[in-house]
Amino acid sequence: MYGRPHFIFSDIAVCNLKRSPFRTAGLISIVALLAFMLFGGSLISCSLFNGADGLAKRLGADILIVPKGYDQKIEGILLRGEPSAFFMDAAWLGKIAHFEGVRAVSPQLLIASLNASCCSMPVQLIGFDQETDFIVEPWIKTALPGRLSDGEIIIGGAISGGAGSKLEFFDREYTVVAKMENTGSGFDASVFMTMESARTAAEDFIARGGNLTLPDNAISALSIMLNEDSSPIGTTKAMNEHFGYGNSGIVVVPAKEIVSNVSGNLRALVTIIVALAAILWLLSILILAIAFSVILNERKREFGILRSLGATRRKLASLVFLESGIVSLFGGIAGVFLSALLILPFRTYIRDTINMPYMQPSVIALIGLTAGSLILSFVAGPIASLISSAKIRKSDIIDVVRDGEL
Amino acid sequence: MVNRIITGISAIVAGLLIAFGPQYLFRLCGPSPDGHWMVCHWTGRAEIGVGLLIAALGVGLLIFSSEQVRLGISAAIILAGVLALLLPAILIGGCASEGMSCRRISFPAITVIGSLTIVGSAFNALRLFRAKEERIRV
Repeated sequence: MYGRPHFIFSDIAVCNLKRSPFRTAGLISIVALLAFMLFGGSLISCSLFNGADGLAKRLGADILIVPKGYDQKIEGILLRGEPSAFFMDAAWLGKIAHFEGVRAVSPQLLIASLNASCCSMPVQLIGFDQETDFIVEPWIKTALPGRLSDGEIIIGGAISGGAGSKLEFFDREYTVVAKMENTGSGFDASVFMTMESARTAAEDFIARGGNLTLPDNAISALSIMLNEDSSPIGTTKAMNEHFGYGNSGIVVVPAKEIVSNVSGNLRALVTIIVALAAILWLLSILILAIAFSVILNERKREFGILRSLGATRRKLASLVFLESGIVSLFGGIAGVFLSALLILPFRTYIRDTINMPYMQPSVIALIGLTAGSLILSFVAGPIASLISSAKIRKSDIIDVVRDGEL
Repeated sequence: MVNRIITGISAIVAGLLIAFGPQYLFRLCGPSPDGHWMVCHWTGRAEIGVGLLIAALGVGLLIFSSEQVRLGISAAIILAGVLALLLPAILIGGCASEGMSCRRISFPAITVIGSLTIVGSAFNALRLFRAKEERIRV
């Protein structure tokens, strides 16, 4: 009629953890720190790789040509979206188009908007030539089937709003017709428009007393796509020799060099992050193993009582295993939650601090990272308790009772 | 008693951070050169109200000893925390570009504090509810 009374070991494990709240909180904190580092490190690494990948794909051009002294500015625009405005003579378009090895060349006109009531926000306005463009249009074909008209704009992924919304630059309203996907690069904070619209924006800026001189037939940069058999480095060298490096008023920048510089920095940073995470993982297991070993010595009396009540050595070992598992589970969840809470919302701040293209992974990838971090932090506790569990399994009830002075 | 002090002071600190953090610590975008205020300014003003409400509820957690009253206050803090998150995300919003100070620092900080307030209050409410249930069972 009555069920046979028995111990529920999971309840004993929970009671044990509750009985020593400070000890439990300490152990949970160690695992939480581990999970925090594992998730945070892998999330930042993944975001940096995504950013570099997005920049490489979006850049499209093999070579960029900008006015002399503005090679750092164009890097700032591409990597960080730092608004800038500079000009060179449009005659360069014809000279470059006929250069050996050049397959396509397209001009851009760069204007910086202001942090003032005239403008919705300070961003980079990029005018592009729809006839020759090979950088912007491949990314908006699905969103914009037709051509872009004057007064219409395409916004980067980091700008609020969507098709149909209005943005104001230098007191003139522009209609958003498409929004690009996020890439993690400076393009995300840029607004794309026709060359005519960009010229109008520049004239509006000058009309409002802006400190800018817009020469006739001005362009800001040339994006160059090379034939498949031409190398960017070789063509850059040939252009510098042909046009006279330093005297021509232009700078030839191999675009892939910017990407490879980013990738190089990235590899060094990710190596450090991975090494730190691995060291922390091992360190956490070591600390937990020492902690469990010390706790085991303190609890010999308790184990002696449980043994005398009929608990097998296997049961006692599984009790320690279960406790460490519960500690790891809660620590892992807390660490991943805190890490996600700090890193996900501060993505723009992190990108600006690291100064590299940064794009957070997709939801599916985030789920994968969460699961991986939880698994690695969850196994840390049980692995650390293996020695303690083995000690219990080897020990004899007589020793336990005697050592516990029962 | 210890729990009352910890939860009460935590709620007061979180409320004050939500109310005054965007004004003094993790600052919102300032006015444009011509004195024009941007959208995020009004979100910051609304957060002052919500933050002070959370701080006042935190005082309530300190004062009242009845578990049922504290359970109700915790539930109110959860809802106020949700409101603190919704103001910048949906209800009012912020500046259009992600690069602006409000979207880089202020709103993420509000998200972190608001989320911790919600989770902390949810744990407190659950603990008080279980304590009440236990007492009824006894």
